[in-house]
Amino acid sequence: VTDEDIAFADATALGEMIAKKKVSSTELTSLYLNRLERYGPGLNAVVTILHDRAMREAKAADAVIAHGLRNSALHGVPYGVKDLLAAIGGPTTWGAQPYRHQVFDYDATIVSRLKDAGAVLIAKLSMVELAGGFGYDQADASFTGPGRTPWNHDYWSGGSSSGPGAAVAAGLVGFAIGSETNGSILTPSAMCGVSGLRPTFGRVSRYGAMALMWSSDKLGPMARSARDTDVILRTIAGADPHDATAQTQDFPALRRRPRIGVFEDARGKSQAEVVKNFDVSLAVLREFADIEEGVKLPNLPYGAVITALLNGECASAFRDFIESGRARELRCEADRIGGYVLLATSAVDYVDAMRVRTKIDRDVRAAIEPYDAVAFPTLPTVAYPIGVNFNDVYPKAPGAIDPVTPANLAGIPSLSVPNGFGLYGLPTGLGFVANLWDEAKLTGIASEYQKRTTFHELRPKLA
Amino acid sequence: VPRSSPTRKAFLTAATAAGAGLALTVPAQAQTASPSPSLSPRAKVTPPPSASARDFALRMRRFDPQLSDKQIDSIARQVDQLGDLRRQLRPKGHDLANGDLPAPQFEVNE
Repeated sequence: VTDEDIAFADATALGEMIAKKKVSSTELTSLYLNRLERYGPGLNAVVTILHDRAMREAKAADAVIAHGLRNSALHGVPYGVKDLLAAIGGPTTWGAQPYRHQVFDYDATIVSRLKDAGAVLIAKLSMVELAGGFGYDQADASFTGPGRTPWNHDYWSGGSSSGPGAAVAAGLVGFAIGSETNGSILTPSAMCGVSGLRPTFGRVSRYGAMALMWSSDKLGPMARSARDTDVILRTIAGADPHDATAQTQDFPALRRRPRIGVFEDARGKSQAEVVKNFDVSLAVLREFADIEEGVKLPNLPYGAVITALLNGECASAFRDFIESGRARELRCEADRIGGYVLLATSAVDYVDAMRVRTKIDRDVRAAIEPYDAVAFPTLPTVAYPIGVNFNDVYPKAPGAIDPVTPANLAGIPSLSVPNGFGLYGLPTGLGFVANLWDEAKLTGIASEYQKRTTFHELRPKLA
Repeated sequence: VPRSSPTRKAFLTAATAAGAGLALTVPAQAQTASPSPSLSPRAKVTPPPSASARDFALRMRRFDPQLSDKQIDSIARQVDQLGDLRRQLRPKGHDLANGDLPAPQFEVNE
């Protein structure tokens, strides 16, 4: 077993190695710290490496192991978080130059829970500035520079959880925590070829996380296997007195052959390789599940609703910042003026959007309800080239039905796993959505898929 | 933002043009299943921004006096597009009745 083998093992395997004393948490942490320093800058994946905190937590984890104990399956496993989560030991920059020196003196709830589980926080990972709330329109929208996918450094790692996606794919951390308001876990997961899970709204406390859109912000795991996302989610889930929306709920599992729907027109005008990989994936799923094509999404104005809600909530969350004029310090030109536009959002439009959302909530869930999961290509294309405006990339592959926004508005969970490669050696993703609180069904189906495929085990060549 | 973007990328184009600030913002944005087509902003011959939008944009100089004329023009155009949200939120066949309640604090419940 080489260092490279260890670095690319999934978190579940790493936890087992630590428990069996095949490797210590301290050794593993040193390995990942070295890889973060060596490969992180080339990918623009890292904001802050937490050397002192990491070694302190690793030694504490090893001390527990020495007594023949461990706190959880993640005990001693090093991980990173998107730099919108408060953590003692370094700045929390929200990916934005004006917040570069912001420091919190407490850990976000999710960081506290992982600490209690024995996991080792080693890095704050890069992200799109302010999680994209101001309307970025190109990859170069973070003070750390454009995130690069490890599969081809000329292409974006996705947003807004750019660093978590790249760091997991490059074997720089055991796993990572990202956030999603409207695609920010699924997109980098697909562009970097990792397994990413966006939980049900309310499954995970957001306390200590930057607020972008309170009514849609979610935190979730990004990892090297679907089974990891299950383990991590169970560790971070549950009610929290600091976040009124957080709930403790069961994880109902599948106990029969799964029934998987496919969205009508899921393939649409996607890149040919994306369509091909999706169809091959469905063939694999048919080995253990019943597949039913033609699931229809309700005809509702999803785009207008997310625009009104995000504009209103983001403008409120960042009102002081917008009115300070410091948006001029942001990296992306669109972000420098986007905040002012948000201020023009009408209160009536916001309330109208909340009223339409009630229908979305009801009707989208009803469309999904007959199935254990509904499948779709996570993205219609591979990762975008860096330096090209989003409006101008892949004009012949605009995609078609996209459940990302409807599912985010309805608060239902979603997961993406790698399912092959497309243009320029870049990965493609297989996405699923499921009913409320049915994350275990998603991870169960995806784990069965990964038992039959090896895309999640492939490693990018790093410079 | 067009009332009904027929594709993911069309929505993205429109949303970013409107300063919609999407958290993700990759092509995997919202799609609406509405069959009504609409042109993306780039496909339109764009008229100059309205006087009210321009007034709003100019007022933003109280927050950042360094905003350039080009930036003011861009803000004004995006504010004009935001003005179309009302129509998009209430497309034909999807009227909101007086008794249709909002989700005042969004929570997921069975």
